Amino acid sequence: MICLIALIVFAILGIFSAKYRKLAAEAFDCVFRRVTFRKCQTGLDTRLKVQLTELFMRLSPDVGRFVFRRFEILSWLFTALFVWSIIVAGIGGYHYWKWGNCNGQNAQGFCIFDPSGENTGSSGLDQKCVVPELAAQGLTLEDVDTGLFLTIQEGKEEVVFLGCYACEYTRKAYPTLRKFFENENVTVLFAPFPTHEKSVFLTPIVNCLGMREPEKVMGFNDAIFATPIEELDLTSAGSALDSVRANSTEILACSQRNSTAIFSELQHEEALKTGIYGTPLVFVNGEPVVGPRPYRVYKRLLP
Amino acid sequence: MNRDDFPILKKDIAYFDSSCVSLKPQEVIEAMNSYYTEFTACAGRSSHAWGEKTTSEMEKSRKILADFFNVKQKNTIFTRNTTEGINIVAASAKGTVLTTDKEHNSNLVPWLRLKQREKISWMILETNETGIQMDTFESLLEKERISLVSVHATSNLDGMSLPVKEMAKAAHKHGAKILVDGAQAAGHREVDLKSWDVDYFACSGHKMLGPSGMGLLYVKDPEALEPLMLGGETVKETWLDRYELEDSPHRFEAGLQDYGGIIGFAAAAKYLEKIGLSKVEKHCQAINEQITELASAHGLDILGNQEAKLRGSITSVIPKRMKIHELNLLLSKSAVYTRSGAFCVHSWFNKHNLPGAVRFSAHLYNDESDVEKAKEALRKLKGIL
Repeated sequence: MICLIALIVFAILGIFSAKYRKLAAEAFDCVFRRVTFRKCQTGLDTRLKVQLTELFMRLSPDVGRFVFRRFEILSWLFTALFVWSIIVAGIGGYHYWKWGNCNGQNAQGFCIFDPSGENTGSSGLDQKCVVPELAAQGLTLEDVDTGLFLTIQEGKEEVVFLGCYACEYTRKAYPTLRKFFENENVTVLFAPFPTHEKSVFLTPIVNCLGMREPEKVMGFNDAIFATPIEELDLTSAGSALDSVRANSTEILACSQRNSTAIFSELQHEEALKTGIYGTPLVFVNGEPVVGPRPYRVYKRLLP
Repeated sequence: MNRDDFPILKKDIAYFDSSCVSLKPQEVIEAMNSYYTEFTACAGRSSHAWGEKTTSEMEKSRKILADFFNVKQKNTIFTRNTTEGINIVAASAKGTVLTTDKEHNSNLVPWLRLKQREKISWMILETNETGIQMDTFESLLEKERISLVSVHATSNLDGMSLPVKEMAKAAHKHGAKILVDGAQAAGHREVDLKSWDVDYFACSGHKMLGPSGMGLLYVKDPEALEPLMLGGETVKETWLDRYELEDSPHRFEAGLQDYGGIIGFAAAAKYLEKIGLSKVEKHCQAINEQITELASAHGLDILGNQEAKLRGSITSVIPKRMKIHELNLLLSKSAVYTRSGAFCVHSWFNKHNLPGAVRFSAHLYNDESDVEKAKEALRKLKGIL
């Protein structure tokens, strides 16, 4: 069975070096003979067994002898592990392609295909942009009144975007989402979901803008996400409103009203009904995606 | 014993594969090199100084080797190896040929082919742990009208030697000729062909400290043998309708010869003679006794007679728990070089339904340090052998 592992390892090494191609050919011959219940004739299995035995003997003769005696069992064990790890790696690869993370749709663990963690993590609720231990709860739009969310773009398919202006992961995800909104024919329903103190004051402002001039929210968001977190204040919010030619005085006044606060509160309660545990949370045609993801993940969820 | 004469042994290897190919002393290497660095030329045809030097060195070498085996130069033919020597004899063989059941493929396949082509009849003489039964041999000679006996002097499988002198006497008594495969005997013990009184004797240079690609065939009566190959050097004169063969030994040496090899071969014979073949034999036997002791202590099955002194320089073993190639490779990882397999005597292993063996074969350069290395290597494998 050692030949099966050798075949795969040498086949990969053979891409880079000719000397391994010969070994890969030997391993192939060996595997082919073994699967047809014949003896391996190249002697590769013997050489590998001896090589490994000798290696362990250098550490300890007892270990070396154990390896030699139990070589067949160990070979089977490692072959099984090898096959298992290939299957797991395959599933991981599939998840990575589908969700941008090897561990699954909204999993947040380490992904070997994404070593920098680009697609891992989200900003937890009631915390300041830290990756939380995620709650194992379902995310859904059922029973959620999305009428309380701002329709900031009209299109064919529905995308719901819940994000926090001052949170690391929403900011990380935003350029991709923005491109997605721009390129695809989608309706974008947006609701601010402040989990960071620096973003709380922006909720009534964007809600006022959205209720009056929803087509200007995307531009406002662009300006806010482009502003460093530490510079987020009423002045920068005013500048953002100015940049989209909104009446900043009126909007800022609206944001102070009690009715706006009530609307924002109702909107937040509806957002919580989705089961949100981290931002950004994006629903593409009802399919939830938490945290930053590659473009292909959002695109794939469109029909 | 003279380990320092062998430059390759600076690598600190316990080399126990001399039955396959022996190592070369510096003298042999230098002798060969001298041809390439001092007088490269053709022998017997170029009249310039280098040509004359090559001719004289070649004939001097033939004389050295003829003396080494106590025969005459005209009966000493240069070949590539033992196999070629046997094939030259086989090409002229007729009647019934008798071999043992423990012959190297080189002394088996030529006869098998001739038998398949119905050119000869072929009979087998059984061997046992003591060699052969002389009375069985004689009775075969008497009853089967054997024309040629073709046997090994020393088996490369288990180191057992046959009483070739007695066998030659018996063969001649019954009108048969005898061909001796001397590959494992030459260079390991005294080989006096005059005293043995055999008709043919073939050996290889590479097993007696000489170069690869060089062999020797002794032919008692060259006129009775047809050359296997003809061409340059083998003829005195040619016409468009006939040719006149050269005298022996040149008629058997077709084409340009391996002069460097011939000179090296003779240098090896000189080197062995200088040391003394009885000394070499005793030394190899002493090493072999220690290897035998070691093998027995580790429970390895020894092929052939259990008495080391009857197995010359060879101890072939079969481990009980591991495969032969595994043992061979594991030993090589500890710098102990042996050989595993059927040693080109597949027919014997097939007959006995054995997978092959691991062979320790010693020569004069092996010493206590090699035995110690083997001891240490086997100690590490205790419990899995």
